[in-house]
Amino acid sequence: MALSDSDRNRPLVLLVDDEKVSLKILSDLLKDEVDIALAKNGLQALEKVEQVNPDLILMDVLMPGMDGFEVIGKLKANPATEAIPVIFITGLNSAGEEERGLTLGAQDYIHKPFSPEVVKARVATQLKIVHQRQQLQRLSDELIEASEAKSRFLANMSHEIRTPLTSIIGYAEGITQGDFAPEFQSSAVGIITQNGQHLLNVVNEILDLSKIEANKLEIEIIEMDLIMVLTSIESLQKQQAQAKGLTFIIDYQFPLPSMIKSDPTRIKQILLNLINNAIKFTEQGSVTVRVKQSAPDQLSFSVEDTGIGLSEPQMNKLFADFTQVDSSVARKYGGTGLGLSIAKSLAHKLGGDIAVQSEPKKGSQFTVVTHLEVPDSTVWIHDRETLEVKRARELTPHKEEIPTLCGKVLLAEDHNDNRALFSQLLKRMGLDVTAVENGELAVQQSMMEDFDLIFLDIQMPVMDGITAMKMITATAMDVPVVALTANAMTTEIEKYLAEGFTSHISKPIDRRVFINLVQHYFDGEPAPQIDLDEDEILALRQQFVGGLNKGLSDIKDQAATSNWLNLGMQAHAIRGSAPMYGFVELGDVAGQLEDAVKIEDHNNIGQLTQALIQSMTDILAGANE
Amino acid sequence: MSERAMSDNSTAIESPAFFDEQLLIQLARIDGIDSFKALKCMSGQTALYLKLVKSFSVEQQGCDQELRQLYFDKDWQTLCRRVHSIKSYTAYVGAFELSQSSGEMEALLNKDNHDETLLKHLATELERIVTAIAALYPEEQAVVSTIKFSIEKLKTSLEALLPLLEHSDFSVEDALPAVVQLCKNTEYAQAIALVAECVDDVEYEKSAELVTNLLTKLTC
Repeated sequence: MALSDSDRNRPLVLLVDDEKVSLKILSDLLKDEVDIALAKNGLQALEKVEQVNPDLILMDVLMPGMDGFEVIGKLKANPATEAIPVIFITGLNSAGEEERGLTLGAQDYIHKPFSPEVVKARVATQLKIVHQRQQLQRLSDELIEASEAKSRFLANMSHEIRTPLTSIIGYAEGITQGDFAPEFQSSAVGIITQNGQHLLNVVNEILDLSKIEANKLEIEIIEMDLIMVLTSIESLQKQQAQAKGLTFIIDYQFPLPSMIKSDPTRIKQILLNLINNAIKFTEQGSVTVRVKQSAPDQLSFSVEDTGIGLSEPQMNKLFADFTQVDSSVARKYGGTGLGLSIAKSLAHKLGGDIAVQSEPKKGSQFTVVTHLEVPDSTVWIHDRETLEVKRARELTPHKEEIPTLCGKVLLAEDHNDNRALFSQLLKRMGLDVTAVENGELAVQQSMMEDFDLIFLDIQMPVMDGITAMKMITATAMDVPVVALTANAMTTEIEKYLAEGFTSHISKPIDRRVFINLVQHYFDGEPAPQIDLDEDEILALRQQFVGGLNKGLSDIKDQAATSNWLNLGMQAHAIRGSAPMYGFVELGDVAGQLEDAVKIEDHNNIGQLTQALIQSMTDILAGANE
Repeated sequence: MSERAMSDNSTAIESPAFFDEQLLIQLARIDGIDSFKALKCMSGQTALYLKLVKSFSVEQQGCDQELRQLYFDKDWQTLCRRVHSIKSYTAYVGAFELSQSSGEMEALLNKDNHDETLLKHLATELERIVTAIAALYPEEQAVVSTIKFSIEKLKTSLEALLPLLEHSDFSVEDALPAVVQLCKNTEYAQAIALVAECVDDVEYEKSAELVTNLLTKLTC
């Protein structure tokens, strides 16, 4: 089998001459620098070219049978061999013959008897050209591959963006045109939100990639609660896995630190990407996230699935930008092909890496290793019980409470829908809102009225947010001015604060962050959470488990008598309280049952009631062990 | 370095370099051979030069008769190719006048001018020089192995041959006769003869494959 150029350590030169003496001399001269192949006639030369794919051919002209001219003619006529340079070594002294050889495509001529230095120099020159040509070819191949990958990426992007937009526009038009009955409008809005969220993820991935390419990806190392990050991931992903019939497990391998120094947003981003992929590519079985301290200064997260798995070639291009293992994957499963590339870059930024082990049809295991730094404030968790107590301590009820505030807010935002959305939210807080569409109108309003808080979009027509803020603050009004912007780069935020903005909030806004921020300017700090010590939490947890016996009996009765109203109320109570004591799964099932009862989904009520009973029975069995 | 200078140094006298130097001097004494100029053309690679001279004296024996026969047969094409070959070979060994005569003969033959006088001169000169060179080399005895055949010895010999074959190294031609002799009258004689045949045809890749297969067979 012919070796490709890249497989060889040294260039390979084919020597062709019917005189063995010439072969011996040339071989002896060149063997220290190059590998040699030999042929003593034209036919043998053509066979050897096919066999060894030489980088250069040194060939006699006058040979019995097929002469050098005929051989070069055949080589140049074959696309597979036409690029191989040929130097003629000849005893002929005819200018006409030399011209013929060069016309046929020979690179050079060396006359016999030759000088060893001349031979070495000319061979070296040709090999240098060959090397440069190979490098150019590789570069060209890489560029073509990159260009094709970007084209595929754009096609994917178009699909990825258009798909959620179709749902958003379609459902929004459906609502405005009255296509949906009132009881289905809420779920239609839910679909719009879900697709909007997906679209935001796509945009974020593209932004992350551009930051990685510009080497501007930012990492914020802070003290973070490892357990709460994992709990949050569990609550986000478990339902998604269960909806596909998959088991989702977070396997904590103790001891683990409760707090670490890292970037919680990025760790979450990496793990969500890996878990999403695991769920996406697994049709049955399980997805397991295993977390452990793998070395004194290393924390490892391993995401294992029982999905379709990957072949060796697929694994080799897994982490490249814009790449999915093949186009059929993009068609079947969607996705930008950027997630893993971004995740790997993020892992590098966090002082680690991502490795993959996989086998087709048997599943994959992605292991993320990050640098582990433990702050003084950490508590080492050695068992599941302590973990549950900690989770119960940290978990807050999911239901969002909107505070009732009193005051006047000025909002300048040029985007009509966003202006309406922010106004609505502020009004729900009880605030008196004046909304305008550019900076100039904001300045005018601020002169006519006193406001307690001003929100200014940065990019607006007529007058931008920075200019408006400067004019407003120049009037010496002591009012906090918050920058509202879609630009989330740290350097930009620092710039806004340096210009004089009191604070900043990124669009799209996180509802909770927005409420907290507004509350801060009207109330001061958000109300601190009540802190209970671990013993108190443990006692409350035991009390909760103790009460499950009664609840279990009630649920069975309610189901048997089709008392849906009481069943729904019972589920609602469990939904709110179970997560606080670390029973997240129980809370999820109860929530699903409550929702099913609300919409009278009798197809699922029975199944969800059984799931709730099973979950309660498991907890009671665990408590009795 | 002169003969005198060399003989003043007893250590140098025993070295291979001394014998090479002596051989170069003896070659230079042959009328029509400039061994030092030829060596200079070969960038002073004495060992290679002397190896070529030896090959020349062996390969060109009887060449004068061959040239005369080709002329008699009026096989101008083959004659021209042989003369062309002699032109290069004689230049490498330092027989520059003979190389020049060969060039002139080649040019005439290419113009269908079949000058018998020049050919006879060429053949005579070639015979004289080949005979003179051959006289400098003692007649080599056929390789007779005193080593008794064993599988282990064959394996060791083949393992030594393999890298030479893989690198298309002509020194395999020096090492092969001993292996042929070792395997004489054994079941491996035919296989080794095939390897030698491939080496003669410069089919080193094929030879390497044969040796590898044989080694695998011996190991099993």
